[in-house]
Formats: sequence, structure tokens, C-alpha cells
Amino acid sequence: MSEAVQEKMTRESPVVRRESPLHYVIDTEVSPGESKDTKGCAVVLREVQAKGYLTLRGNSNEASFTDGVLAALGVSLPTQPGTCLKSDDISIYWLSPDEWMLTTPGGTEAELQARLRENLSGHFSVVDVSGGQTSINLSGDEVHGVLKKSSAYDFDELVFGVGRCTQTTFAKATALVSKRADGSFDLIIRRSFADYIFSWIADAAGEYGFKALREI
Amino acid sequence: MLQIHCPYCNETREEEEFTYGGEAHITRPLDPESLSDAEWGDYLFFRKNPRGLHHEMWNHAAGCRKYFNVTRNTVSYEILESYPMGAKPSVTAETGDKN
Repeated sequence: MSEAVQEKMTRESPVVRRESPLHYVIDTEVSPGESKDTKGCAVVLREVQAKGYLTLRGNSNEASFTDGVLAALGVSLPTQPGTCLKSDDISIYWLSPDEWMLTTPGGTEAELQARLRENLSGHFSVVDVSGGQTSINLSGDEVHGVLKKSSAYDFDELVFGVGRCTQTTFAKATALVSKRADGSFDLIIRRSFADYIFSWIADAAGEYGFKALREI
Repeated sequence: MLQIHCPYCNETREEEEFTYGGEAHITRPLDPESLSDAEWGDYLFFRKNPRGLHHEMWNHAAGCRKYFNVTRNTVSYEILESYPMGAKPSVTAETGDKN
């Protein structure tokens, strides 16, 4: 290997800021958990940008797979259809009988992937899909009104409580929807649809009073 | 709109989440080379078009992205059952419409 190539490989890669797909439409930047100018708004959209996303696939009937995931994450895989486990750092969403979505604070996804690979063996797959998704959180008194306009799925409290998640059609695109303990809804959407879904929600929520924030 | 039960998500969802996958239970011939052109053509291109019960595949495209089977009445559009891949239908033309 030539010295020039070697030098290039060992050189630290420049820090590139991962930009939100909504950076040019949401101009109110807040720190996580902070609110700004949301008085009188019955729907608040909060983009939680630059998280890490991994898709995990494997056979949950195999003890070696479920035990490996438990060892790597410290929590067991949700195997009931349409359920998720959320915590401040790692969240696990059931997508299909052999597929899960993991979210982790931005920048830790490589480390989490390495930890999973260390603990898993046999037939499994871990893929970093961080570049393709973004998360938005919808809160407020009229959030159900926006959801009813956007999706045919029933998000009523009686059937869709905390700990549930669902992949469904949202504004003719798709979203992975789940609920937080505070009653707000988390949507994981495709990055390429973020602009369209944002415009849809802004239009749907306009009548209730709408404010969009971007967490940095 | 149809309401279709996905056996993997274990929920009944709107038709807009699904795509149609054609006739179910078509097995690939084990020894294609021994088939005549007519038999191979039958396998590749010819499908049933029954008036009444039909076993068909659907894909839960906006959900779990799995294929599964549905028994549907092509006259009334009534869905009699949905069952996972590899399972046998419990409602057939022989057993008849249980309703």
C-alpha cells in the first residue's frame, strides 16, 4: 500500500454535521425537551434529529438469537406483534415476526451494532439505516385530530396505548408510530418523505394552532 | 374498501396497506425440464378465475411486509379467513362457505 493511501486511511475523517431533512422548513431550534412559542398551539411537532437507527433481523424462536440480543441490549426483544420497548437511550420496535427497528442516540449506532455482532451468531442481520430515517414527535390536545386525518389506523387510547407500535400508512406515505407515556406520538418516517409529511401535518394541524420545533 | 386481517400483525387493517399477490398455493414443479411446454406454460401463466371461493396471496406492504394467504369470495368480496404462508386453508370449495 502506498504511503499516500495509508496516510489517507489513518487520517481522522472530518466531522460532518448530520443535517436534518427539515432544517430549512423548521426555523425554531430548541434543546431537547424545551418548548418555545407553543402557547395556544394545540398541535406541536418536534423533530428529534440525528438519532441512530438499526434494523435487526433474526429468528426469535431461537434462544441463541434472543439471548444474544438480551446480552447486547440489556432488555429482551419484544416478540408480541405491534409492541415496543422504549427507554431514554435504546428503543426497540417490533416490525414483523423476524424484524425489529432499534433507535439509539446519534453517534452511538456503530458501537451498538458492534455490540450486537459480538453477541449474535448464526443467521441474523444488523443494518445501519440511520441515513434513511428521521423522527418526529407530535403532541398537544388535538394530536388525535391530526392522526385521524392522516391515517386509517385507530390510534384511540383504548386500543393503542403506551408500549404499542405500528407501521401503517400515514398521509399516503408510511410511518412507524408509537406512543409516549406523556400521551404524545412518535413517528419514525423516511427521510425522503420528511418534507412531504411535514407539509401534510402543517396543513392538517393548521386549524388547531400549530408550531414546529427542531431539537438540536 | 376491504378490511383484511394480517395473521402476522394479528390485526385487521385497511386495504390500502396491502397489495394483491395473485393466486395462492402454486408450487413450482420439482423437475421443470421434464415438463412439456404446455405444462410449463400452465404453471407460469394460467391462473384460476373462479366465481366464488378463491385462495389468494396478499402482501402487507405498509406493515410487516410479509405475504400471507386469504380466502375470499369473488362474488361478494367477503373474506372468510386469512392464514400464514405454508398453512392450509380451513375453508375450501369442498367444505363450502361456513357462514
